[in-house]
Amino acid sequence: MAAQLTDDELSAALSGDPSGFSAVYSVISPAVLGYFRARGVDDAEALTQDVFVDVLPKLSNVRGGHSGLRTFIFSVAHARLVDYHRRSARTPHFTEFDPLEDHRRSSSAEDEVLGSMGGITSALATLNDDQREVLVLRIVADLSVEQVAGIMDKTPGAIKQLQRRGLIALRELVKEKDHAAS
Amino acid sequence: MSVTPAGREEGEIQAILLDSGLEDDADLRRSLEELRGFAHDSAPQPRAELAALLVHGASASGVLAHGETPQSMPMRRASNIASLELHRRNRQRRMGFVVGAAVVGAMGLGAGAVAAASSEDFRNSVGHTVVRIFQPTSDTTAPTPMPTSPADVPAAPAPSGAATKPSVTDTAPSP
Repeated sequence: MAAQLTDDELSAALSGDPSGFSAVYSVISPAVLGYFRARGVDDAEALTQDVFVDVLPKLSNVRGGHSGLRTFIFSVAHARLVDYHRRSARTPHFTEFDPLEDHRRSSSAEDEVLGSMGGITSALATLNDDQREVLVLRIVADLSVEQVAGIMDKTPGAIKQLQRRGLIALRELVKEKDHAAS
Repeated sequence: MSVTPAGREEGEIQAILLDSGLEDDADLRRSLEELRGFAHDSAPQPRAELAALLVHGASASGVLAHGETPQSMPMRRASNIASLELHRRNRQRRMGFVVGAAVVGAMGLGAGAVAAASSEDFRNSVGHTVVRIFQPTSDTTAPTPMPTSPADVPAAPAPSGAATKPSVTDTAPSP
């Protein structure tokens, strides 16, 4: 079970107190790290630290208590993830072509990274990007539908729809995997 | 109150499944619990910049310069950005001057070439000038030695025999 952030620690963090910063970091950074790992970021720890270097000095502007703090931190994390995927798409990896080693399929490089990790991540890799983002934000980041809607700049109804479609697709994949294993 | 209240995780996953009408699917719940496990890592070891923030707060030395307030930090960043922008603009301006000079020079050369091609007199005068520049050695006289002062001229060696040997005619015969 993750540690919990108390009201006093939240108040300290919002007033720029180092003890509050440490509490925010130790409570929320595991979820941010998990969010990046679940989304296939190769250096998730570095990106997590970038997020906190960015957000900690700005906590005095956060409104909405615990929920507002979490929404703010994951808004920055989401923006960092979008930048990361854009940057990855712009920097192709050059290797000598070997037809026997060419395992390219219709899935993206991100999907392949996720797929290589096995388990739930390989199933997630088959979902489309929005469905995957909604499920990871809802389950790993522990955000509500409204919070995810604010971060992804969509309506709560659209988020619910994406969540439902993502879960149905995930269920089919889990069933297929079970059939293949048995 | 806390960000992650105790015992909420299972309830949250159940609520998510319930939202989508999939609350009875045990396999899917297990998959979501596996996904939830990503959030249970430990916090990454902070590197220097983040550690300074965690130890010193918003006035961390690594983040803020000495004597700087958190409020002035955006201004410092903005001034750094502004100075970089100014530097870039100056460089662009210098490049503009260089390119302009190159264009003017190239146009001058082009105009000269056109004039040379179209005017017989111009060609003759240019040819004459070139001839005068490159053929002066045959017409000029041989260089005369520079006059030197007598002091610079080495003295001719005096015949040692005449100076040292006494003349026979000058000596009187002894009686």
